[in-house]
Amino acid sequence: MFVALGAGYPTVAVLHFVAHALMKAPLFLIVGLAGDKAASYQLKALGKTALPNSLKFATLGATLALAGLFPLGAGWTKEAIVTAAGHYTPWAAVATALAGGLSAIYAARLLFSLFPRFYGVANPETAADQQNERFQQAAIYALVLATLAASLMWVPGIPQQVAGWFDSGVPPFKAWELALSMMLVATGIVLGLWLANKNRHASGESTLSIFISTWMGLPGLARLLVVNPVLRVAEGLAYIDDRAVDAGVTATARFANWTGVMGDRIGEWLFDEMPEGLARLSGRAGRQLRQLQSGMLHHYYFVIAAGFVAIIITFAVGTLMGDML
Amino acid sequence: MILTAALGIPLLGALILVFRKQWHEQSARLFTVAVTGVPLLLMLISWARFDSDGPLFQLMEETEWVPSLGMGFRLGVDGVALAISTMSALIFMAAAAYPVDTKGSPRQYYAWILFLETASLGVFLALDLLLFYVFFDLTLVAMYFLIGRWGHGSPQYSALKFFLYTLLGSLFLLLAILGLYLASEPRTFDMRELIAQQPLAAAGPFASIIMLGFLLGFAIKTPLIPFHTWLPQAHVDAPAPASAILAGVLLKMGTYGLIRIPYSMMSQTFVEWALPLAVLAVVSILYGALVALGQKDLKRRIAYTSINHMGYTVLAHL
Repeated sequence: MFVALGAGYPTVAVLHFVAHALMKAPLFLIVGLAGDKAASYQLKALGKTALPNSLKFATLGATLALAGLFPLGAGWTKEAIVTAAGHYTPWAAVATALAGGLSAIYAARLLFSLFPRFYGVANPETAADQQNERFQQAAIYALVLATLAASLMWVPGIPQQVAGWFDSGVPPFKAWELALSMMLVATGIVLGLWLANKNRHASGESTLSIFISTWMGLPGLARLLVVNPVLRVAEGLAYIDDRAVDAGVTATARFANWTGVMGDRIGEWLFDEMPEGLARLSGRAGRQLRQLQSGMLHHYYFVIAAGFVAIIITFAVGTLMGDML
Repeated sequence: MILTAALGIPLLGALILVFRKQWHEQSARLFTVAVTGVPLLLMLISWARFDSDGPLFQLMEETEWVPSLGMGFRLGVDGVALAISTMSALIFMAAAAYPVDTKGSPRQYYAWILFLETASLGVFLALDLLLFYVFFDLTLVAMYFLIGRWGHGSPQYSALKFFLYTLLGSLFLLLAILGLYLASEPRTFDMRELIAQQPLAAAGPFASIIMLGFLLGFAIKTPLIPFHTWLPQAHVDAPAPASAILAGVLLKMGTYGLIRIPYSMMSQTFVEWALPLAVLAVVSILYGALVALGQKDLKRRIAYTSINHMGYTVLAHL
């Protein structure tokens, strides 16, 4: 699809997108149904499971579309993409056709792994199973019919009509590209059948097939080079964020707390001591003054005489100072 | 009157909840959901009435408050405010509908939700700087109680940290607002006039200081790194609907404020500060995402993704 977009044929990309959806969906549903029955998605287990006989032809339709075989719709879009790539350089067309061939290999392998006795004895299935699965099968058939309907893309004029809606064009097929692509698809289907048979009869998985099927160790490499380092960095940053970045805030809060405590202890004591101390002094002064009230007449006479002397001295000093000024 | 009603009805609803002591959990919740539906409806009606080819601010409702100081009760919408208030009204409705353990005080909980809705919509609909600021701070009050009373974990600590930190930001915001106001000629808090006047256009260092005030205030609210540490704690300890409102509405006030005030009213100075702000935004994006990845608590993780996303929002301004 991206090849078509890059080559400047968005209509082809959109049509491929539609054809792809129409054939991939039933494939998933079929594999889901088979996987449920087999309780496993391993190809060997799936091959041994009794699948509904009627599903055989639905699977055939979907997988041949996956393979990009003429006259299915997905075949047209694949050829169009090959042609579109060929506008850039012929080698791009060859590469795309090869990719199409590889798709045919795995499509055929899937078909013959699911139905190893495709051309042989029909698989038995209970009536009860068929009853339960009727909705699933209905969905699958509907989608496969739609896939088959997409074969209309091969009808001259229809793709051009669709292209008209998008204001773009459709590449005209080249004979050599078409021939090469179809030959590669046919070869792919045969190879797929051979691989399916080989896998069915093999006792275990070969090291090579395990290596290839686990993405050639790339996930492990990605985990080592990208995932683990990023996770370490993320955990480290999370640690720093909680401690270092928030440290300023926590320190401010602690400082505020400290000022509060200091204020409560020292500040409050100080501010309270002013009226309290003044009150204590007043009280002491009052108590001292009260001692003058001894109840003894001679004490009072002494105080009166002392007061009288104080008044005379004050007046004398005042008069003298007045005279001097 | 439609915008005033959108503010007034949730407030009225909150007051009703306070006084109807006989209502229990179910009735209080149903009542709140019904009341929150009204601002949503009003915002949708406003949306329908908004003319995209018309003036910048529409559906104006204003009353002079202190004419000599240029203060007024002014509400109005532009495209941004309309979108954000409608979205907020929807979030409030969902948050009100969400079942939560109200710890024996359902009326009070829902009353605070409605009060928060008034304050939040007020922030987005206000066209007077002082009114904006008042609503901005009122949201903090409501959220404080929602987290502190109905939260879990260490709710009082989280609520206090959230409140004090964002209030500090509000302080910078207030000083900046006053700076902008004092530079305007004639003095006004009316946002439309300030946008037209661009009061600090040629003010040099003074404009930078005011811009710094705005940026600090909004950076704490958004939040941007390194002023974000109030958010994870608040998110984790808040009840789920309050967390949703915090993430979906309150955080938007920071970026909304950035658009509405410094971006619109101090365009020239904003351009000068664009690069440092962009750098801060990018740091928030990367740091927020990485720290989110390193979290073990899911709510904390989501909180940090909020920081990451608000970084994108701020970057988009620039």
